[in-house]
Amino acid sequence: MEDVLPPQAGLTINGMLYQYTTEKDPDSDLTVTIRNKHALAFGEYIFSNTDDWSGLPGNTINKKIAIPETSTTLWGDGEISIQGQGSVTNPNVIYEYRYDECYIPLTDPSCPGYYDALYQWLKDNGLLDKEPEVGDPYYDEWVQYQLSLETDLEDNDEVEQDDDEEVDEDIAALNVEASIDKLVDASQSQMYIELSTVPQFDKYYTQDIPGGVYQETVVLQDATLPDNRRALNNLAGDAKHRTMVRSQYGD
Amino acid sequence: MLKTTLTIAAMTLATTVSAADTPISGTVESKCSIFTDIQGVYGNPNPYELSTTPADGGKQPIIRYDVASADFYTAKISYPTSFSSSPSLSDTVTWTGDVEVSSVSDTNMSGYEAAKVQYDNVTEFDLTIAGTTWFKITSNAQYGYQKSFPAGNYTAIVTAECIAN
Repeated sequence: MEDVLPPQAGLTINGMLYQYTTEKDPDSDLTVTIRNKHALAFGEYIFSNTDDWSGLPGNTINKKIAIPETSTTLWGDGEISIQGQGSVTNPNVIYEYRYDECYIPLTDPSCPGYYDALYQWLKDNGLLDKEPEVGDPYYDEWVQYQLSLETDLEDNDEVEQDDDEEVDEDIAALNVEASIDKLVDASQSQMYIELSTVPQFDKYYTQDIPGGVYQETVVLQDATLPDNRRALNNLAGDAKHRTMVRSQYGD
Repeated sequence: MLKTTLTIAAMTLATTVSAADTPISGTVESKCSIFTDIQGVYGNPNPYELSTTPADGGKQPIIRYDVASADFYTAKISYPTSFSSSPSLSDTVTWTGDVEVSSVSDTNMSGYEAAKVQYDNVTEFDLTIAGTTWFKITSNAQYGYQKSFPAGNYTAIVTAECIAN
């Protein structure tokens, strides 16, 4: 039945509709049984219905049978059993089934027995008597991360304060001991003097550059330049080609 | 004295009698229902012929009888003998047909076919078994002496009745 009914759990069969045609002699005996094996009880049938055609002419039977709702898990393979003289053709069996949405009560809080099932589930999983673990938020990952950021800021402030103090000390030293002669040696002092001397640019302004006239020395003689016949041929060829192309679009 | 007294008492009672009309209502639901499961279609195998036979390109109508009480009803089914709508016809139409049990819901109903009564275009089945019986109707119409039917739409009616015995 796995390939006949949907695989979902919670299906119940509540009816069957079958049809077949018998071909037989009206005087002969024939019984046709439609049945399904019981999936859990070997040798037993969960459903069986027999049509007795004995002494009757063959015909097509079309029968619908109501069945008390039974889980599909109990339904085994079906078969059509024939006893007597005759044959069965064109059999067709249709099972009517219903899907029980609350087959698993935990599926929906509106299902009957939901709270009992929930209680049982909590109990089975040991969640009923166990104290819930309340974690200290101080050790939360993000809290620790934020705390670490604040620590870094404090460290930066301390470093900046140290740097400022050093600069202040240097300036104070310069102010207190401010004397260029004591800071540099003699050669440096000389260099400092030279650099601080006001430059004398006047002598650059009064310099004269000697000039003159450059005369033409090259003379071009008149001559005849011949036409480039190869270029003319190419131009003529291009014109001919253009004319041929244009002629395609003419009237 | 006793007699008189009784007479007076009787007269007293007679003067205090009141009348009332008490209705009794009831509903009789149909125990025999008729449904059209499949509507028929005429095929046109020859220019002069219309037929519901599948081999002729037609489709046979199927009528279903649901009977809740056994042996109280007779199914009376008539195949058509005229068109309910058609183009104008100037010649005669020859009608033939048949009604047979198509399928049953009880094996004992298979005896209906052998026990049916036929006259004219009517077939009667004694519905002796409670349940459902499907009847299949065949209809054939031939125009004139192999004369072509005029083009157009043709409709004929099958009459099915459930008659209480």
